[in-house]
Amino acid sequence: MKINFLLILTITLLNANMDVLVSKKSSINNLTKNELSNIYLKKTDEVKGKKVIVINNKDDYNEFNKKVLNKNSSQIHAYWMKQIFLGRKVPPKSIDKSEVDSVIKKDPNSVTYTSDKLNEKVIYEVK
Amino acid sequence: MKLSNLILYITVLLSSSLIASDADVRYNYFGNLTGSVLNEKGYEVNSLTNSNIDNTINFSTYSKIGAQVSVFKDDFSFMAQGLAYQSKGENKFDITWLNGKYQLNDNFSIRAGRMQFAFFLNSDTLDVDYVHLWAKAPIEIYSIMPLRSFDGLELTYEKIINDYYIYLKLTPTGTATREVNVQTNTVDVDFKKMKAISLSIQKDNFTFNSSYTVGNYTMPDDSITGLIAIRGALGALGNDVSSYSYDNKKVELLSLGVDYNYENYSFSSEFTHTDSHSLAPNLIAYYLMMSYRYDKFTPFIMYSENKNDKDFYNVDNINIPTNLSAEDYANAMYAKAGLESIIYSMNSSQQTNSIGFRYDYKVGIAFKVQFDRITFSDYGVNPAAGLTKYQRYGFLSQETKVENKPVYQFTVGLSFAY
Repeated sequence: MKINFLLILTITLLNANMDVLVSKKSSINNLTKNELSNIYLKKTDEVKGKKVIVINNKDDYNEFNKKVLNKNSSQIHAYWMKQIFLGRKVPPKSIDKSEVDSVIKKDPNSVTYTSDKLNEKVIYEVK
Repeated sequence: MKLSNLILYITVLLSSSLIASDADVRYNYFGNLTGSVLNEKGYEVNSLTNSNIDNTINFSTYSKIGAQVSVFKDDFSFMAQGLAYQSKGENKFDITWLNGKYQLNDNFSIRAGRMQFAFFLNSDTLDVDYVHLWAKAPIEIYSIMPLRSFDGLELTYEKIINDYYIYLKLTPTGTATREVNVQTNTVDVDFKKMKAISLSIQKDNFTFNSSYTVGNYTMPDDSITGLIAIRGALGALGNDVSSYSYDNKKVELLSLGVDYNYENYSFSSEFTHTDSHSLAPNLIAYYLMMSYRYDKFTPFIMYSENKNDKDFYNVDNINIPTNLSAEDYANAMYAKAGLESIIYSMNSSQQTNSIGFRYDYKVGIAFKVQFDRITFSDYGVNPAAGLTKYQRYGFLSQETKVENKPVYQFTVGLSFAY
């Protein structure tokens, strides 16, 4: 029984969902994967007619890139290196997981993600 | 004062004030340590700007180190990039990017200063080897134009329309100069009155790119041994020899490219058509590349081809009158043979089959291996023995009296970017 419980717990943790969050004050209610990809690759800073500031969470960064942007850590690094050396764009700001809640509360235009459960508006569930 | 100099001065002035303010300043660097060698003696892979590659291992042609400073302040940004490399045993340093950019609104931006050409899909990032899968770019396309940077203006428009990301770039004016190696000479080539437009459309994992560049290209005709005398002799006989020159000739380059990723598979291809209106042949060139990613390990195969316009090698239009004295007739025929030799040496028709892999050792560092089999098409008339050092200069040079057979090139290197 104990072994089964640990096994289920381990599987649950391994498959832990990640939420893309905005402030409860934000008028954005949901985003598609494609819209998320566009704003996180900085092809635009606007979504559903609203300006947004995307922020990376260092602790969930690789998982987010893999599941949402379909890129592994080397590929996303190569993407940003190309943008930088072309003088076009720079990567989004990165914060620690512990800062996610305060950053969202501070700026209603912020979009970020976390595998922690926070009391903010979920606009995309990363599975 | 030249427009290009004025643009550079303004750029430097603006950038100095940006750096002095509380702007976001970033430093990045990249490099490549790569060795390459051919299996056969008597052949050389030509590099117009670096050392050639022959059958002794060479670490200088593809190796380089670059650094960049970028400054961001509100809607302004500035970048300066320098590149250090070796060319024929000499250490060289080029300022490859030096420009200021202003974001006019959400969609439009304007940039002035020094930028890199976008003749082809990867031309403007060719120095940053880390961002590319290959160990070396296909020379059938990327050796067509030896120029890297130009001084000028650039307007860009970017917008997402119905899920399609549109990136349009217009270069209304630009000029470039670069020192290149031609045969045994080192000369400056110019590209003036440059205009270009490029369009990129992206949706999901699919990207389409196109670009068109036009400008006036000049390479000193006296850098080609005997060309001026031969053209004079044949012109004096009433022939139109104006196209047998590199002096201020209009060059047009059209490029189309696609890139598609499906799960771990990746496919990319590029096609170009080049009209040179000069001593260089018109040509088409393309490559096809496929890869499959196993986590950090990505093997790939690639086929690339460059096909010159065969009509370029036909000199039947050169008329030698039969009523000349025996001596004049012999001299005229010798001049015609000389012209045939010169244009024969321009032949860049060749095909390369490549297989290789990239291994992402860690984020920012990649190890690459590439093995190429190069063959070439033998248009034109063989020059008389001893007339030139090589039978052809193309992208793969062949010394006289060397048997025409496949040549293998092995390239291994380490690329990094941070």
